[in-house]
Amino acid sequence: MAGPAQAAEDEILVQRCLDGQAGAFDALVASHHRRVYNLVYRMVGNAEDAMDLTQEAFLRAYSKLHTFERGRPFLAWLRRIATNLCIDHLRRRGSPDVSLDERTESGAQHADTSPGASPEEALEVSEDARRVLDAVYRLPPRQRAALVLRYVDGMKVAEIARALRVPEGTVKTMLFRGRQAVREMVGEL
Amino acid sequence: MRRGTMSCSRVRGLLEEYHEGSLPAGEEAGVAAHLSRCDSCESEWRQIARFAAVLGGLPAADPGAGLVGAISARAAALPSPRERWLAELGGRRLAAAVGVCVVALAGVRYLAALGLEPVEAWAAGLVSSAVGWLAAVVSAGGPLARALAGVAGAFRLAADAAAPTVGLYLAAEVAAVAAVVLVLSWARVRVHGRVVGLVV
Repeated sequence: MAGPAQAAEDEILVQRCLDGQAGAFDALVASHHRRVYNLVYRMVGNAEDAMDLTQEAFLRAYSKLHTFERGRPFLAWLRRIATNLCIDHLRRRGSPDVSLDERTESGAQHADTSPGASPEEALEVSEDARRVLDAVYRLPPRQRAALVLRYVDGMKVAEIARALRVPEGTVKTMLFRGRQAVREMVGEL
Repeated sequence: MRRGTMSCSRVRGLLEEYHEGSLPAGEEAGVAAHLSRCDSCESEWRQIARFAAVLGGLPAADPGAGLVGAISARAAALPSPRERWLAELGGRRLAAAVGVCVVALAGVRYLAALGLEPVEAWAAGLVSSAVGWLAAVVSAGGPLARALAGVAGAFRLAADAAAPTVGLYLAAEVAAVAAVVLVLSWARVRVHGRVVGLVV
């Protein structure tokens, strides 16, 4: 579904949820779970954490739905919740993801390990993409979030600034420094 | 270094928006012209485009079939958004509504002291009905509803004692429904507006 049509549909579903209609929240989950999962998966780098954090993001949205500012895009709000959960999770975890390190060292770096990834999909993950991803997973949480939101999820700088609650200039700085750091780790793309 | 009308630092500050396609036409043309002449900025631009191509081209990670069901099952065990909203309403906001009723009743008693007795009966009927409606909406069947029903009954007795007319009862009932609807609408706007909610 296209952006404005999806936003209008979300608005209706949110209202039905607030009115207590059964099934309205399930419809919101069905509409957005893949996109949120993909964002979270690319942010934290492993399927198990991504499943947990995606569930947590939706449940937090459900718990806070009565505070959702009407007229705003629901998906942007949901992505902001998911992003902040990921940043908190990465901060708690501290060091770069060990399983990613092991995967790279074991020579299995071409495999996309998301649960439903088919062998064909796995083959589509290029060497360049794997090298860049492994470098992105070594960045500080907020810098990593900025790069994933911008280049994986395709969010605009202004949207990222709202999600991370920082000025747009700060987002551009995070993107620039993140790209520089990745380039230092993997060389020229 | 300057290339045309835009400086390198200005162009580099706009490269992300240029990539998004969100620049006004004039600025977009300016950036394009600068990039066609400046190798350094053009290299930075290519890096952004390459990043977007490599990371944006990743296959979408598939969560599998169980995620939607898992979220729905866990959400079903939580209070619904409506229940949470009503719970908030039943706390501070209900206290505010009761406070308004008490102040209104004191004002009406003052009017009654001036000899306007039907007004007192009308007000008692109004408060009785408003509290009853609030009880029904906020906490149907719960202990709060029983407590409010008791309060409503007390005011109803007061209204009966003042022996009002049927017309006064009817007017009180209509006004009570309108008051409850207004209070609830007002509270809901404040919940979503997040501004006036701090006042109460």
